[in-house]
Amino acid sequence: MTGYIVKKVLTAIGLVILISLFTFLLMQLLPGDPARIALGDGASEERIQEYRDSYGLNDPVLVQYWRWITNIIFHGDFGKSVLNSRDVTSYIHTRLPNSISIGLPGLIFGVLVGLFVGIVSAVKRGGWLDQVLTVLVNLFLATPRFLTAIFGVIILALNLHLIPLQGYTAPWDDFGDYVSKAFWPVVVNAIYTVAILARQTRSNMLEVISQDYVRTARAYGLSERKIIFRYALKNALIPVITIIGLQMQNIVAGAVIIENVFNIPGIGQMLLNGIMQRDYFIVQACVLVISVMTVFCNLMVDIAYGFIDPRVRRSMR
Amino acid sequence: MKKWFTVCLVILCLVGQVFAGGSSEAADTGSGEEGGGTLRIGINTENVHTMLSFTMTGTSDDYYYSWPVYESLFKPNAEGGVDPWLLESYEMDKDNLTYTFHIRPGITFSDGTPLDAEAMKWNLDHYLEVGAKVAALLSSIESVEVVDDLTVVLHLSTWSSILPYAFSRECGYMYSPTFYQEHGEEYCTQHPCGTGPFVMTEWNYDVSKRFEARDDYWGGPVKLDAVEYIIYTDALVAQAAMQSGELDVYLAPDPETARSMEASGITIKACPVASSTYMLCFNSLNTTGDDPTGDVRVRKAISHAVDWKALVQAVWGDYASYRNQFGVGQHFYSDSVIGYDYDPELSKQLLAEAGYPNGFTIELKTEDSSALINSATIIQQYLSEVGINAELSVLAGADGNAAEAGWGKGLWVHGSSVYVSAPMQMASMFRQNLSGHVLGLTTLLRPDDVEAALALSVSAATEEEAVAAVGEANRLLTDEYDIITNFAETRGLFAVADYVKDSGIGESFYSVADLANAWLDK
Repeated sequence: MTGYIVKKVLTAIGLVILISLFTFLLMQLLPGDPARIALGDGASEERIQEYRDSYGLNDPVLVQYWRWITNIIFHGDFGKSVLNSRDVTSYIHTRLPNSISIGLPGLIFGVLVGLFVGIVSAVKRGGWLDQVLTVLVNLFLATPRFLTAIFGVIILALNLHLIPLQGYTAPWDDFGDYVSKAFWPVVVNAIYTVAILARQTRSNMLEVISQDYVRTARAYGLSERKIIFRYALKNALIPVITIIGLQMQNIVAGAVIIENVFNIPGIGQMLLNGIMQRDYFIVQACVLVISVMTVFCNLMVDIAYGFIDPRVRRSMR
Repeated sequence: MKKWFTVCLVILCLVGQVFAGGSSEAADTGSGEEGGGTLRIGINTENVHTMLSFTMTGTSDDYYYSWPVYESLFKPNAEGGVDPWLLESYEMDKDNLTYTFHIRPGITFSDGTPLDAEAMKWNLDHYLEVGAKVAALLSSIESVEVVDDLTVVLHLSTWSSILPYAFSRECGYMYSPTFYQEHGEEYCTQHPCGTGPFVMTEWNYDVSKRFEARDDYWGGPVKLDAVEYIIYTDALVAQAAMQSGELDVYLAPDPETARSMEASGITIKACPVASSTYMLCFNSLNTTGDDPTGDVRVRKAISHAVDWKALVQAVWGDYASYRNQFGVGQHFYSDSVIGYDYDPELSKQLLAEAGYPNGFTIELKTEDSSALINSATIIQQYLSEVGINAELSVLAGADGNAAEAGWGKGLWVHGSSVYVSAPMQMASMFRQNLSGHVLGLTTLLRPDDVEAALALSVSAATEEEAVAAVGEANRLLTDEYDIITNFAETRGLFAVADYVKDSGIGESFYSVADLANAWLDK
């Protein structure tokens, strides 16, 4: 098991380095000069070159990359914003918790509701409740997030005055205000997780409850509740862990649209603005943070599989 | 099922009532004529990286965010001219190549230090050293001399009639030298210290900026307690915020949003002085020699293929008017410019003469804004009727910004802000030997006769001479060479709640407001 974990961790580190290098090269290839954006249309070529020199943008790309990645690894320094000289590390420190404060409750809410809906659908298979839930799940899967977001703004905020239109307050600053402002963004974030988990859980449950051991349990006269929760669910949830792992990366990565619609100062908003304005160090830092979180989540899922599923453990030997 | 649905709805309503905060926030910003309250201004982007006056680049967002903190030497007025603002008066002496500026007495910066001649010289010298518009607008200034406490003389190398216009924009903002020397440049880029009625107290990047009223403002008591700029990246959410009262003002909605807001009962104010001109630009320089737009007959064929007046009406409705030449307003308008009527038959004839009887395929590029994209789409449709297949590309963000200076082959649909004075703007866009990020630097032809006309417009001794020179430059750019085909002039649009009084927003020119006297009639 230790060898398996070490192998997975090394693969994950390699993957993060590859992603960071790829992002770095990609940003260099895109047209648009951040120095020109920062100094304005009328700035002289001399000023532009001075500015580029001060950020090391005239060095060869690989030299820039090496300087950037080693500064992160050895000094925890993500560099400075090319456009406004702000310290990217403190920028990330401020923004990441905001994204997590929207993404994490969304994930938890999505997982709980998704599992519940999936189990209910499977248990009531073919009934009216199953049919209604299946339609809703398909609707949630098909509706783009920004549409759901706007729908909430117009109906819940503008017409019913139930929630504020947009904005963000950190839960550690004012919890009541946070709940009020984060309510709809969290719901929008959770909806896709609910839909995909419900569908996966339902199909796994249906497969499991048709197995011989479930039939045998019924023949023994065990209660339906005991059969579902003690025997069937345990096995049905194994593939669902993969889905939860994939959804975990959305805590940050999925925030781009939500944060822009609701004006939430998180990593997603920071990334989008960075891309639009060619702020190299901002984009690279955001992509690195998101990719580290994604790879970490996948690593956790892989390791969890090793513990949960005996077949995986056996294949490692 | 009914029971479930009812229970869910009730829970949703209860949760909402418990946590509701949106409407109450809007309510507690109210004031009365006696003053107080916070003016909440929505804007769709941050797009400002420095608030230090002489490092600003002169984007429209620079001006919007400067309303509370900066005032310039001159101020654009509702007639399309400029009046002294931080200056009490000024004199021009063309023979001796000097401008004499008399500073209004009693002006102080928000750190309490006075705006005197030394402070003005310090600001002008700094701008001349690092300012983004020096080459385009201020290259004629040789030196700045302090004569007495409140008098400064500018010595010029060649005469320039555009200086009052240039100093009505960010070039004329004043920053406290004392504050700068105490804190250093990096700090000052995030902490403006100007002569305006407010002080910036919070800058939450990409989210909001907050400005609080000065109690020592040189212009008298400030009525509002604070002004807050909040970024609404989504126009629909911004509209909902205006409707619900969460926002008092929304800056520069695009025409579609403005129409939608107006339909929902929100007042849209259009500045009396237009501030942007829209044009189709051709790769007339054609350095590779294989672009059809290198042939003036093709350029004219394209210009005749489009019904520009119909396009303007479709894209902007009443928020814009058709204009066949560069510039805004009537002051520099010339009747001698003919422009291009919609004539598809003439267009086909010109194409045949140029050797393209069956048309051709061409690239049509523009930036990511709804007005530009809609214009480009309509142009594409018209061109297809004369056999030209225009392949449309929309370039977002920095891509668009980069392409503006040289879009390669084909056509570029462009919107250019015009800061009151046409000669000032044209001198920074169409003259020879410009450098930096200039429209079509690698794609626009810059003939000698256009250069001569524009040089004359800047150095003109009289206003009549300047107007005539601009007219000639426009005739050459449009009718003679068809380097650009102008089609619209638009005015700055602002959604302003009816209870916002005396703000000056949308009442003269987009770059200025009168937030010192604004109040909320709630």
